[in-house]
Amino acid sequence: MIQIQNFSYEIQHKKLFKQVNTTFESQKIHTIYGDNGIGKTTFFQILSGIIRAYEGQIYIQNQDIKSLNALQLSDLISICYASQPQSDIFVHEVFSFSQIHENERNEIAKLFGFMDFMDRNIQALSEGERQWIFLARSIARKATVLLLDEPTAFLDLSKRKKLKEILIKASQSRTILINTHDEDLSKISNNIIWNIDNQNFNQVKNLN
Amino acid sequence: MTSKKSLFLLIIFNVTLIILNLFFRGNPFDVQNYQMDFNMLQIIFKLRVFSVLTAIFSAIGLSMIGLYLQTLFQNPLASPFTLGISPIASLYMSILIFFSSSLGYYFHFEWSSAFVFFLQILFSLFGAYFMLFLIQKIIKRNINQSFVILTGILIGTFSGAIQQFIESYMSNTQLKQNFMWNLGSFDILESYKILILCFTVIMGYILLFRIASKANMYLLGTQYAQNLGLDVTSFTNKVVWIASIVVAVITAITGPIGFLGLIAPHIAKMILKDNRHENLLIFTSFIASSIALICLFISHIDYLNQIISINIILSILGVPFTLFLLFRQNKA
Repeated sequence: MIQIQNFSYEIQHKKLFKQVNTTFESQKIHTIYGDNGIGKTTFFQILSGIIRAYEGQIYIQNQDIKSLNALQLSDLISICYASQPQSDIFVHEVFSFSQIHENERNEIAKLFGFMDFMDRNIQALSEGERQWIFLARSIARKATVLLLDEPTAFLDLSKRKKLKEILIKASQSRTILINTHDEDLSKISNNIIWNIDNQNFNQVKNLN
Repeated sequence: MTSKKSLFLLIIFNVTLIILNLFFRGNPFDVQNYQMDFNMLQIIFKLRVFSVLTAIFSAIGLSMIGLYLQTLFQNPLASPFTLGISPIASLYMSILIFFSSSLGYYFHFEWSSAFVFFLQILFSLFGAYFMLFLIQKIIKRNINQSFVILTGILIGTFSGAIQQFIESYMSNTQLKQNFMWNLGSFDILESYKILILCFTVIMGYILLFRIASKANMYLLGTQYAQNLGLDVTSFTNKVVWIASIVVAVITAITGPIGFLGLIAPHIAKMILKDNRHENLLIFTSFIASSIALICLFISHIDYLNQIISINIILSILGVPFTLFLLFRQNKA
């Protein structure tokens, strides 16, 4: 569960969030919509501790994230960014460098279906394949909060469908926040739809 | 399995090169060497041991720093030389050569070589740290990879210009001294320098080995590394400090040695097909030391009539390799 109290943040004199008070319930998928530049990615950077100069309090599992160091926060949050690194490393190293055990890695690779990709260099993958690998990585990390930034952006239709199934299953044990423009994701079950507007999070009536 | 095999081969290759350098350097077919008296042979042997040690340890030092700088700046072209750290250290050296002997001349005193050496390290340290600090600041504002290398080249050109300006005021002896130092040499005569070199490189190696798993995380990009609990600022500071000190000491002792720090990590990555820094460190150091030993051996071949500088040999080997690397990267 993520509780937000009196949260404000501005970047270069542009107010992104103003006095936000809201709660993201656990065991739900929260799809967050909003125009470009409205602060969706910035909000994720704040949650994952990259940006710390904000006003107000954010609690994850009743712990103020300002009081946690990077290592403690990393146990709580797993994130998949919108753009993936293009370093000269192999797919299996994406998992071993993220300190994911080999068994867990193989389990998630079977689920996502990229066992035969293991020894390929991530530079040689297509944008969608790389995104798929890093999505798998973020889900393989056993953190209570999962943040996905534009997860479906580069994925083909069958992968999008598969991702939805995987997310519904994963939401049984964690809080999932998704930044997206993909309207299809609003139809996912077990979800709450948010819209960032007027520097605030507004809950949209569930379409289901 | 293959990595163990290639490591074994590398060790044998290194041992062979060390033996070649110790016993068969110069003209391998010249039997005159063995007719010299025992004392003379002993001195020659001692000097050879010194130069082999210098070659091995400065190569290990430069290449391990190159490896970590490539990870830190997420740039395959990063090295102490291309980032302008070595050039700026050599500028400071020119300033030191100019002022130390000029001051000595005007005030009628002579500085001991150990004191000059200490000043050299201090000056190089300032130079190296200033450069890394500058690059770090630039990175915070602009993440573009080529920008970092461009900055390094600009700083290198700038310090080169100032160096030439100073050189135009130098006396003949100063010029010769400055010129020789800039060529780079593994032939070190003083044992204390070698002790300091070995100590610094070994300490640096241990420290870098201890942050190897953090460097692995860093390969996933800064943001993902942060999400894994890596304190990016403290990691960067550690690498920058270790790099400054190691490069400063090596540059003060051997002169600016180019390209070793650039090519050795790349060859290691090509052979190893494994990007764990724990393994890369070991491979890189063996590869770098074998390159340095080859250069050392070539530089002393008798047929060339004089000792060829390490930098000349390294550049002739290193420039085509860097070009090859650039083209290969472009293709991917």
